[in-house]
Amino acid sequence: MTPAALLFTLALAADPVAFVAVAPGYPGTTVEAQPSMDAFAAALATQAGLPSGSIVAAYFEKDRPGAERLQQGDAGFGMVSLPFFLREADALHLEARLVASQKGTGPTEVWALVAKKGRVTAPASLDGWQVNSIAGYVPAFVTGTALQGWGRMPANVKVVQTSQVLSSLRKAAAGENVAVLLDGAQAAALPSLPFASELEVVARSAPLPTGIVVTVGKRLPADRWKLLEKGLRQLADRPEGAAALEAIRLQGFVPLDPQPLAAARKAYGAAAK
Amino acid sequence: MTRPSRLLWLVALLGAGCASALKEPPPISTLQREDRGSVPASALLQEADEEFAKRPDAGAVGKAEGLCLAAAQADEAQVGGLLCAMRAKAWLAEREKGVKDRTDLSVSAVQTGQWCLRRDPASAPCKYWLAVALGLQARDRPVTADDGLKRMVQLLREAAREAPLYDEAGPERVLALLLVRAPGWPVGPGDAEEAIPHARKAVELRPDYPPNQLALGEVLIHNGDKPGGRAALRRAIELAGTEPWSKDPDAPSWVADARALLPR
Repeated sequence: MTPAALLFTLALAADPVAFVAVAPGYPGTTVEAQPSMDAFAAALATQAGLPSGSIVAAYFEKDRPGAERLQQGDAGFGMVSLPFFLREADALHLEARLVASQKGTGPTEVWALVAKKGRVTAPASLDGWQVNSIAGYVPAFVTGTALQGWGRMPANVKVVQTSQVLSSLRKAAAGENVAVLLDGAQAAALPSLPFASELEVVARSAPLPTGIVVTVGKRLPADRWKLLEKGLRQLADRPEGAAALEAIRLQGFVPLDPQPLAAARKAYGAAAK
Repeated sequence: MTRPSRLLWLVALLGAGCASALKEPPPISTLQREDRGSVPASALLQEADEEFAKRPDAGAVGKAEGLCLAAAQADEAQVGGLLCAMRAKAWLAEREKGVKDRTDLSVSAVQTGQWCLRRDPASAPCKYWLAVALGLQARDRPVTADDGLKRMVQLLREAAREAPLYDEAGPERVLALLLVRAPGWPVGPGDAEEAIPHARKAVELRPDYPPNQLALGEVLIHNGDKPGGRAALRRAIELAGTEPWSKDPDAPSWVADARALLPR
């Protein structure tokens, strides 16, 4: 190794950069996910040709702690859910770079609004209703981005965040004034429920990006992001990288299609006003 | 049989893979054990019980584990040694901080459970302890979680039907904890509402066993019934401080767990 290369390597190793994953409402806690995140960070460092220990990773299943972690100086990049991105991108200076391709759904997913069969025929049917969703922490995503093509919802619709989606679906099937906005994986699994025949999908979103890989402000020098981007895109090439992706239910990372994201941001902006 | 108390093995997982939770287990003779020559299995099991009673001395529990496996090899017709080995492995794995050692323990507990069911395919205790072991394994080997958690639910339902009082209503208690802690639909079998009747059933079957009240407290709080949950937790603390359970070596950990849940 030449002195210059050695110095470059030492510089990379001296200051670990943090990868922050934020997926509010999804399973697992920061502590429980740490072994998977450690494996992910190690595999990414190897794939990117960076020294061991040069990347640390953490997962947050709640929006506020995730946002706080992203504000810390070592948080250079991460992966966030689309609702979180729409709400926080400006405040946290998040720049979308890549999209996570999930097992089962791929890089985009279609959200589905589900209600008891026959009770909801148009947005006006939801007058005084509650819409429950794992994305309920960003109401403008639910009413604006996900359901923008369906029409304007009544102003008195109450959007509620819940990770107990099954419970919400039971309430809907029982005839309560509850509709449920499901993400792509949940929507795909709907027919497997024993009471699925009592429910129906009344509206669907356009295909929307799932997890968005972001960089934070200008914390990452361009040359380091270049290495990391290449590492992320090629992570599945090595067995340890494929295993690390498998453990967090991903197939890999693919280039971002800017148009669906721009459309989502526009719809969110209109709904959030 | 002394009970596993806290069963903290069950964790919600960020992700869960698709590897099979069960692989062909190695021969029992290759599992680590005490070399006790021709000592009869019954004597080995008695000695193992005495060592296990020294909890929280992890060294003694480790010795108990080896004695249990020696008993399992001394009498290949019975499952007592294998059950006792799984109990010790589960206790150790719940408390082991090192990921590698914990993973080794949980994997070997699963293998022991597989042998248990091979010896006695209808044994509810074997099903119960294999379920516990699968939960432990899922924590540190997430790729086995999809398959492992599904098998857990099935094994625990069968054990609850066939031996509801085993391990102080253990099958219903563990099933309740699995349902409240595991990832929910569609990722995993978690279903917090469904956990309520199972936690109540465990309490109905063995109301004075502190971990049953502890499980009910956790389940009720998770479902938003804080007054009900706190009442159950306070009852768990009270029971853990009263004979006979105050003499159980795990009683302090039950109290600690209940107190940790109380402020929620």
